[in-house]
Amino acid sequence: MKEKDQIVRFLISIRRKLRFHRISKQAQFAILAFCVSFLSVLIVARIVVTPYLMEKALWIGGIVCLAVFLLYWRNRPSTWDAAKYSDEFLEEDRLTTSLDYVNDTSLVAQLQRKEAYDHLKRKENDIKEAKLKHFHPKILIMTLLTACAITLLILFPNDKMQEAQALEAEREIIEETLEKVKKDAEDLKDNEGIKEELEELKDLKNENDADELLKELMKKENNLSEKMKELQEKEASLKELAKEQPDNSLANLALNKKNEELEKLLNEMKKNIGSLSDEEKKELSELSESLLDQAELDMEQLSEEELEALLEQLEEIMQDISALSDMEALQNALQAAASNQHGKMSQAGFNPSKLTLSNSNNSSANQTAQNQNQGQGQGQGQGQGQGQGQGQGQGQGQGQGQGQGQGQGQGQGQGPGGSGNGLGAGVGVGEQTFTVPSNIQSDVQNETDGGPTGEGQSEYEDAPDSPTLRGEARPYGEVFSSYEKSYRESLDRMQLPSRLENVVKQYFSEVDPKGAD
Amino acid sequence: MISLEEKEKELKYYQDTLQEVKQEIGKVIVGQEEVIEQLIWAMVSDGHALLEGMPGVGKTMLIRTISEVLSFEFSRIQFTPDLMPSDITGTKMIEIHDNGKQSFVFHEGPIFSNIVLADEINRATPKTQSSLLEAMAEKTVTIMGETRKVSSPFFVLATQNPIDMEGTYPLPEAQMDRFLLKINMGYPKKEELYEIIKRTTGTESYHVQKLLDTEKMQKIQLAVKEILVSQELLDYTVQLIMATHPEEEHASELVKKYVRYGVGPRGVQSLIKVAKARAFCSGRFHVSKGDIKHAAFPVLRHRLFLNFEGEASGIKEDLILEDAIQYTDKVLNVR
Repeated sequence: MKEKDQIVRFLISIRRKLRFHRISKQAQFAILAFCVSFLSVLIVARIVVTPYLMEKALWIGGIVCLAVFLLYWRNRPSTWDAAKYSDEFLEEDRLTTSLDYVNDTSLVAQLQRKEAYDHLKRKENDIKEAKLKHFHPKILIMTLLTACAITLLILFPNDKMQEAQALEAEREIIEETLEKVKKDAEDLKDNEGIKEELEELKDLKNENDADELLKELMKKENNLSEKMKELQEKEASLKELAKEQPDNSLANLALNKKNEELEKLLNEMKKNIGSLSDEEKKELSELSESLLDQAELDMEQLSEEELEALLEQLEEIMQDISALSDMEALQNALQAAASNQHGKMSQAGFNPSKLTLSNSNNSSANQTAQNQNQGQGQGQGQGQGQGQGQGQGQGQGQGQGQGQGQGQGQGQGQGPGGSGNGLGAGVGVGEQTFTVPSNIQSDVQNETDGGPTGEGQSEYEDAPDSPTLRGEARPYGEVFSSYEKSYRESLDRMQLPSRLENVVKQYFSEVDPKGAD
Repeated sequence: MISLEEKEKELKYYQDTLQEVKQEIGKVIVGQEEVIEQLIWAMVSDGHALLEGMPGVGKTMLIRTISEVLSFEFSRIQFTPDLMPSDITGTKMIEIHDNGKQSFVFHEGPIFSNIVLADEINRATPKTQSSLLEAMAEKTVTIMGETRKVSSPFFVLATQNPIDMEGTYPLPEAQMDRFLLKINMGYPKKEELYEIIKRTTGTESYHVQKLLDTEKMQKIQLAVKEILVSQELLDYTVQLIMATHPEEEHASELVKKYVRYGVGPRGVQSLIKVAKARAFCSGRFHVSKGDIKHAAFPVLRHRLFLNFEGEASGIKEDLILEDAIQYTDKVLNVR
């Protein structure tokens, strides 16, 4: 028994030694396997367009590393391996046989163990002190070479790799835009009137092409805009009706967004459809004439079903009108998402389609201005655009403008040279040309009639001999120089506080095409 | 119940005795240590051996010396074409008694000895050879329908010449593996020749001591059977045998090219038995890979049957076995 225990104890110590040796070798091998798999992914990426290359290479490398360690764990040295290793010193397979018959109590087995142990005692120190090679130069050199190859392949990407990077950037833009749309939709989901519109946004997540997504966003925004336009007209009619017939309770309730009361009233009407008062019938008739563009309606001739259908129709329209502000919020969100994506696409070197831009520009006459530094219409405007500074840098701006002719507001510019904030006039140059109001330097004065304060659209009148064009597309550099000249002249004339003077100076230095780099 | 110390003492005694037997034989036979050793392996494994060598290398002398060292009954049969089976087995003869009555009395042939030297076994007819071969396999002899047991222990040590084959009857291939070992006896070395001259041409005569009797030999045979074989070595042996099968995927290249039939199951049994004998003779209680590798040549060489290409090319079985061993080492990653 003594020999048996001694042999087993000895073999366990040798097993530990072998495991340490094997794990050091396996670790080197795992690093090599990682590098080789990383390199393989890079080579594949030079042939096949592979977006998210680094992530993929790291994942595959990691999995290979893990597999190598699992392989080690499966084939880790056992006590039997330790016996085999020791037998190289003892010879004649003494310890492997002892281990095989370790629980055999026959006399011969005991004698064999005794004999093996006698030999072991003589060689024990030699076995324990025998040095195992922990560093494997071949593996290390191969790892180094592979690492060098990886570095070279990363430093000098080919067309496919660049294409993959572009694809990656596009996917990120799509994801960001979809995320933003989702977030906006989440924020707006409590708004009752736009559930249908929000539902329509869900199919956007299937879009994989950035340009297509942008088009889709614009399309949805245009549709929304069309609907809003129609509703605005209806709202105007309703206002008109409410002004003419201040007693029309339904019209007033709809205009004052008292949806619950309106609904209650309409429901009561539906319930008592057979016994509507003359007054109620009159109200309904006026509403249907005003909202449904119907000629004078004889309520007496309508059947109960037709009357109920009419009520339904009116209820729907009035609810939609009351949800106009929600739609406006959704439209703004869509507009912001589209503009943001457009900006990012331009920044990333993609060429967003012109169609998209023109859609965007035409979409909201009174709300949005894109790629132009002129606010339009009345009330508040939101300007957004991109700019390219000095032909190299790209900028992006967002601003809110108010007023006539020119939008003003906060702008934000970004470009390869850095980013900055500043006052902007809806700064945004998608292209290198700017649409500039021609009257900036014109001798001909335009006349503008702002209309009733706070309402209506402004009216615009040119002097008899003034140019017919309101603006023209001019190169950015030219526009900048003329604006800069105006600013210098105005600085000479005006006594601006030094703080504001610095702000203006900073703005012009930021948008200066010569200094953009 | 025997104690561990007693058992060790007993086994050591037998191991030492076998060493002494070897040394004693060496007093007469110059060189040929390997052959002597292999003959001892055959006897302690309770098997028969076929000695093949050129005329005059001392085959008969060696076997005669062995029989002298062992206090066994010894008989020698010179195989000739006119030798009859009854010359080997013995026969029943009519004997007239004093009272005038006659009866059949069995007269034992030379096969009823512990050691039978079958000299130039390939010179007798197959019928005569088979009378010996039956006794080798079954350890019984059937004469006129009556089966008799041969002596125990029973060893047939046969000799044959690889040349001068005209008028001989080579042993049937199927019966070759009745011999546990086929031992090749080569020419002695230069120094050994000087020693042979000195010993055999002078007036001095050499006498050997009798060291082992049949009882001890049987005990040794039992002790040899107890020798341990690890699973790893069993795997190794099986893999080696498989490597001699030309139709197997894991057969060595030479085997695939030159071998018609590989080693059968009796070959693997014999290999382990002889490996155990070698381990015992080396003073160990377990078989090692070295035992298997060393035993493989005498045990397997007469169990490989070459194809026509092998016969025609004159390739030696030992070369094929060496290739099979190397291949097995490679397959099992043995250093």
